[in-house]
Amino acid sequence: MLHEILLALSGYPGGIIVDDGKTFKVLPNLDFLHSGEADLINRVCRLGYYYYQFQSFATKYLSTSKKRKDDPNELRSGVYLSAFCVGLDNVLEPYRQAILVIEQEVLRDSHLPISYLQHQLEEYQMTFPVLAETLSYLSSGKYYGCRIFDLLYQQQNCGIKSVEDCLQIIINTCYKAMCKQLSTWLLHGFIVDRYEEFFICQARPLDQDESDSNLDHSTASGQELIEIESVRIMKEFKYLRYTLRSEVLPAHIPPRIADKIVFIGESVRIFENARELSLLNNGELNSIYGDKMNEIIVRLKSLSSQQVFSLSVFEEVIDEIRSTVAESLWRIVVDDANLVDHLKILKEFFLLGRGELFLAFIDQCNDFLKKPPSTIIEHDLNLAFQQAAHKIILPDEDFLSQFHLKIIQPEVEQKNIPIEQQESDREEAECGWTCLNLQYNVQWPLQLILTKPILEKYNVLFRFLISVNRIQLELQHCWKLQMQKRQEWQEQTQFRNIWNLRNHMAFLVDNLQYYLQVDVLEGQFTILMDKIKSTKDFEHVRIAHDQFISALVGQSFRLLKPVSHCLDEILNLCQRFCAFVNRQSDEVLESSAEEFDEISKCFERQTSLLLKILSSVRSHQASPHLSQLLLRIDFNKFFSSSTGLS
Amino acid sequence: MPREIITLQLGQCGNQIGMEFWKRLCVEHGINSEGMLEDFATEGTDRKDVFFYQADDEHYIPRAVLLDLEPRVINMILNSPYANLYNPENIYMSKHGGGAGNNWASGYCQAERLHEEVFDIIDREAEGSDSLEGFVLCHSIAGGTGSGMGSYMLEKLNDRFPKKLIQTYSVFPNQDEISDVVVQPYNSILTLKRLTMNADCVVVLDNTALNRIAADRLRMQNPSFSQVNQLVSTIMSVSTATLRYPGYMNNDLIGLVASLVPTPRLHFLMTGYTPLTTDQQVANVRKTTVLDVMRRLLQPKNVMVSTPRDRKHNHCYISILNIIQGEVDPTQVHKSLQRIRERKLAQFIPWGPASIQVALSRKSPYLQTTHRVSGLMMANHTGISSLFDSTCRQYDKLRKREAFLEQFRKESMFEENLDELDNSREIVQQLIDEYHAATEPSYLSWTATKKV
Repeated sequence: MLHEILLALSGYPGGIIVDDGKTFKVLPNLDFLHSGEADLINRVCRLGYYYYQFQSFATKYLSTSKKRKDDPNELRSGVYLSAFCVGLDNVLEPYRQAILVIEQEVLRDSHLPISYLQHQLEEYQMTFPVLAETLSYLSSGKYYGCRIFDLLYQQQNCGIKSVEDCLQIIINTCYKAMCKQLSTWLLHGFIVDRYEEFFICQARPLDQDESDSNLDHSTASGQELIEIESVRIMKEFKYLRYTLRSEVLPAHIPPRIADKIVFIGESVRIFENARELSLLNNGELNSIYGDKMNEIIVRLKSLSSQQVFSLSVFEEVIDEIRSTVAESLWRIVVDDANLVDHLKILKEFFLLGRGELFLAFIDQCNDFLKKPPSTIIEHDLNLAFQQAAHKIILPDEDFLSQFHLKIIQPEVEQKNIPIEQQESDREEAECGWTCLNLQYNVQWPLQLILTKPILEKYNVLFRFLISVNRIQLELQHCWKLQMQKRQEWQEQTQFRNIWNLRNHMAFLVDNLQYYLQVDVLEGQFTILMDKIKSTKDFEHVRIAHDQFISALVGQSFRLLKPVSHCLDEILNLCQRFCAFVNRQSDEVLESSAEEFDEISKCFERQTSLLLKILSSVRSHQASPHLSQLLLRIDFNKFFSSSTGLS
Repeated sequence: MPREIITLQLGQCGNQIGMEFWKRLCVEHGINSEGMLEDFATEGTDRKDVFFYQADDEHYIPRAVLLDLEPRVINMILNSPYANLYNPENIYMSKHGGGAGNNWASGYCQAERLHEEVFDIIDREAEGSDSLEGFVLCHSIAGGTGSGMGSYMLEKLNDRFPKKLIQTYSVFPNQDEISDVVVQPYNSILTLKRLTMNADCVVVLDNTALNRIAADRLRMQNPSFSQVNQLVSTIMSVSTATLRYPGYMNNDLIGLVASLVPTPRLHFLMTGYTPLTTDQQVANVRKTTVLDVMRRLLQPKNVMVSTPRDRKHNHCYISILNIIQGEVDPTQVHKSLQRIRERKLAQFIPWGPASIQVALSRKSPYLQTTHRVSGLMMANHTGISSLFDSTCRQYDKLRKREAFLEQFRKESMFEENLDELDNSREIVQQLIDEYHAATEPSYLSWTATKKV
């Protein structure tokens, strides 16, 4: 009988003690057993049933490699699950030893009472139900991957010492598994994660890289082929972004630290990729950590052998690694690659810092970019751009070749627009200027700062600034025409009014331009430069630059629909006005008075609207830049007094 | 495509300020007196080709045409270290060399006779440029050559190059001292007519104010010509700085001028500069901030035009452009504008929008200055009319007495009558009236009533 019980305790039911699906039980109606004895046996044998469950769970999931069929009842295998199983097995070892001891006792003294068994195994009555409960939670599939820690910590939090101890053993085995993943990530930037359990994963690229298919290699000239080749080489450096997989991020690692971990690994990956492509200047460095590598390995080892997880120690180690990595990257990006110089070049091109270059460019291209866009003109466009650049004498040829103009049409539905519907402003909306894109061949390691979305923002600004610039030039051209014909046009009834309207328009556009260039661009750029100078941390640099470009987009009102719409409308009216004056210089059209009146009225309406918007929000602390523009436009309070605003 | 600018310097005064101007440009661009680039200046991104072109042997040659009816000043230039800077073909002295005798009519008529030779030079120069933007004329309005020949050139340039801009740097005579040129008021009025009708923009350099600034601000008892001319060359070089250095705005003459000139006739600009120093004077280095500079530019004592107080009119600014150079914190610009508006430091026209436009420009790295920030103001101010007004008063005094008119009657233009003088006087009066009208809110309807 005792042997029967011992077998049951080892997980093997027999003829007397049977598995009824919920637990192990003595067959009822055994007359040689007192019902009290039977209850006692049942109580002890329950442990056997638990043990049986644990065993079968552990053998089922211990090995991760085992191929199993897609059974919805089965758990996804994974490192953490098998680590759990190993831990579980470790916890069961004392139990097995205990049974061994009991068996020896039984062999010596076959009249051992059941109560002895109960006494010997009493502590497992405490722990096994908790473990079983844990197991059943686990079987629900909710606690997957790193999330297993959440379950384990939750179960551990019960106040019973023996339970806590045995769960700690399991936690430690799982923690070791995490530390392994963590250190390959931190040290080498690799994610060894076949089962998608780690709390970091590669981010899905936002946009599919524009394929090279639009480059027709067969017709490309030799020079172009070389360029294509160089573009290809450049593309080999991939800036892989990683992200948190929040659904498996265990609660005991706060997101703040997790983000730092992401950053570290990402940076290591960047460094390694660049090293493989020998993009780094300093060839001797074979790790981002430099000579700190060993120290960091030791720190990580000590981390994984921690008996009890301590958040403060963990964070301390992570912080230390992070600052090392951030400084290395800072050195690569800011020091070695001269980030500041590159940013200045970007400012000169994307933000029209080189006014004289774009003056020449607009001169050459205005005619064909005013027409509806087509990709065919792209070649001419770039030629014009290069020519303009050569005439302005840019001593540094190198960076000029990094810029390339492109016509990117928004998805136009060229379906059925009747010809007569081609209103002038509709044409404006789809002219070449609005589809203009300045491409910059980003070179290592600037991809880290100049990501695609950032460059897109630069382009938004580029298009806006160039349109303001263009209108400004057209208005100046009008001034020249008016000046030339001043004697001749003096007799016209509209003479004064035309001068006056042009004046108001030019004033508005000029001051918008000054606001954009001095208050916004120069101002923000100074702030950015100060920030870059004052830090040695790559991430701070990146954040500063992100803030810079966001501030530019924000302060140029690109995101503030009412203002941007109003400004666009005003620019459109200016353009109509210029066309009107140009037509007038060709032939005297007296009937054009109506058109002039209409432009004039619309302009008045839009400016007063703009003034209203600007002054209504100027008190808001959130957008002080609106009042900056207002100050410039309404410096002598002409607009506000004429529109009746105080 | 640089927007080239051809500089025409006429007469004694024009050639003198022109020479100072080119000296200054050479220093700013690192070009030596022979036209060669200094070794330290080879890396620059400055745009030398707006005002210079390069000869086959790499020499930088000014796009300048030097014209005079007497050889004295030009010979002085040709004996200076800068003799080889200019293209000798661009120097024109009239053959008889007798000058214009400080007589506008003589200068005008001689120019008429010589114009083919002169325009040969100008045409050649214009063809040699890629996309000529316009002409800059340096002259004085009081003498004979600068005023008379200058007037002729203004009319003729307008004819020949209708699409090109004409900007002038016109020196007005010193009214504090008695001039030995008795017909100066006649010359001035006749020239003012052309400046009103034919120029796109006139930068007024008032000798009265220049001498006063030299005496008061720079503490020189009897400022020499060249010291005063240094002030002028500073004004000229800074006002062209945005054309000569890469920048985001005002990259061409139009961009510079168009925003300042809201109506065709009101194109006479005052200038101001701060801080003022000369090379003899070791500057007492003051703290210069953007606000300091902008505030000082609005003070009359720093303005290069003396405008006697005119109580009848409430004079005001029509437009202002400040070109600020040096180490500027751009975030300070807005604050300065705000402060100036709060304190009402500048009065503006009531009939249209107006503001202080602030352009930040680069500064030559080769020109050492002790000041961190310096600034030039170009302003269109109605008060400039009082300068024309006093010229008119002087003119009227002479005209009433019909004094010193024999000289004029000698020339064919005035043989039959003096209508040209009276007509010029009327146009100048219209100009003065228009400036006065521009101080009133009703300005926009002013010309309309005038025309009827």
